[in-house]
Amino acid sequence: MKRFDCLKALASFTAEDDLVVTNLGNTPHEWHAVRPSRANLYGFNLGQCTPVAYGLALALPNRRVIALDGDGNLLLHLASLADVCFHKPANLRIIVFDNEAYESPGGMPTATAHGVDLVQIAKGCGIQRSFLASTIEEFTEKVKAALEEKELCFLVAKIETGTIGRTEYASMDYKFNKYIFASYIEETEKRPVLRLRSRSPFTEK
Amino acid sequence: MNVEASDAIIRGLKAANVDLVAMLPDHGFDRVQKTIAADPSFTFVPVSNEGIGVGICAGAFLGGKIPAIMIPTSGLLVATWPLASLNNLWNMPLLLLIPYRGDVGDAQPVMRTYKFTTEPILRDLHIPYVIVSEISKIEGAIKDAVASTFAWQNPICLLFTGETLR
Repeated sequence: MKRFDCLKALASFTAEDDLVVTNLGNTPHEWHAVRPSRANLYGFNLGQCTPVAYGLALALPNRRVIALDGDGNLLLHLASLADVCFHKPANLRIIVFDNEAYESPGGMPTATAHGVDLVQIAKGCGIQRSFLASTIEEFTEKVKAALEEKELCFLVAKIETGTIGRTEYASMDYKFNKYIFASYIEETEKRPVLRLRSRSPFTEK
Repeated sequence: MNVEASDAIIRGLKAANVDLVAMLPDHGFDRVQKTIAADPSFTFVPVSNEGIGVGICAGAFLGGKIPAIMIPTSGLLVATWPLASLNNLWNMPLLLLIPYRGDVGDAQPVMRTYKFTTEPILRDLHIPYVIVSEISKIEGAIKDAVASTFAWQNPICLLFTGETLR
């Protein structure tokens, strides 16, 4: 199973206002290729994808938030699964693309290559709706069900290594994307995000 | 931290409209952390690792919250990875509240090392900081820090020491 095929399946089920947070590496480029949107936040480095999605889900409980994490990325802050279970936000979906490798820096194996079971860890943390998908048919069925659920879900997709061609990579500046995303939230949620100011409190009358 | 200082932190957070607080328990903040956990005006987010808390605050900020993180002095060392690779790189605002254990006068051998790590790390990460040693200065320091963290889109740290920690 290829991640890109999974992302195409996921994109067919996502709503226009779903907020999607991706890890760093190949996933942001593949996700951008199938679902370019101001509602995407791309490129969170090791350990930060699921925590950022969790914070976003807490801030916007009426919006569905989907984390597109990876095995290596999640493993650095594996305790984020334990921490997510304090609030168990019903609007959060965590999808982990598990290729059992640190693919971007060369392909050395992650702990999941040695038998670490992320689904069992998530269940042990208290995420009861935790699933494994090993084929594109399983993924399609389970991701559709997960999006329809009304509670926190965790889905591991066992994938092969490999990604789309480099020529299909988008030009991305993650900091610039922060401002695009923030303006999208300000516009759609009618609330301030950046809270920039033109006058200093020192000089305001 | 005594009742007066704890109350001043709560007043400052509310005056600055902070509405989400991530934290990892710390002896210096014990009273104020328990107060925040029980106060429904804050979204209380306990974490197992300070780096996770920094990521959660970044997400909360992008969703429109005004987040703060309260972590032990030692926890700043743990939090350096996301503070560098996320907050510094992306210009993410964040209010950091840290008891300055190991400051001169905090005469305990195990805390000594933080005198040599805390301020240099904050400087290296380009995180401006204010050392707050008087209870009367707490509320204003929090309001100023929140104003600057958003205006600059950059983390700001308050280090509590002296009478604020006693």
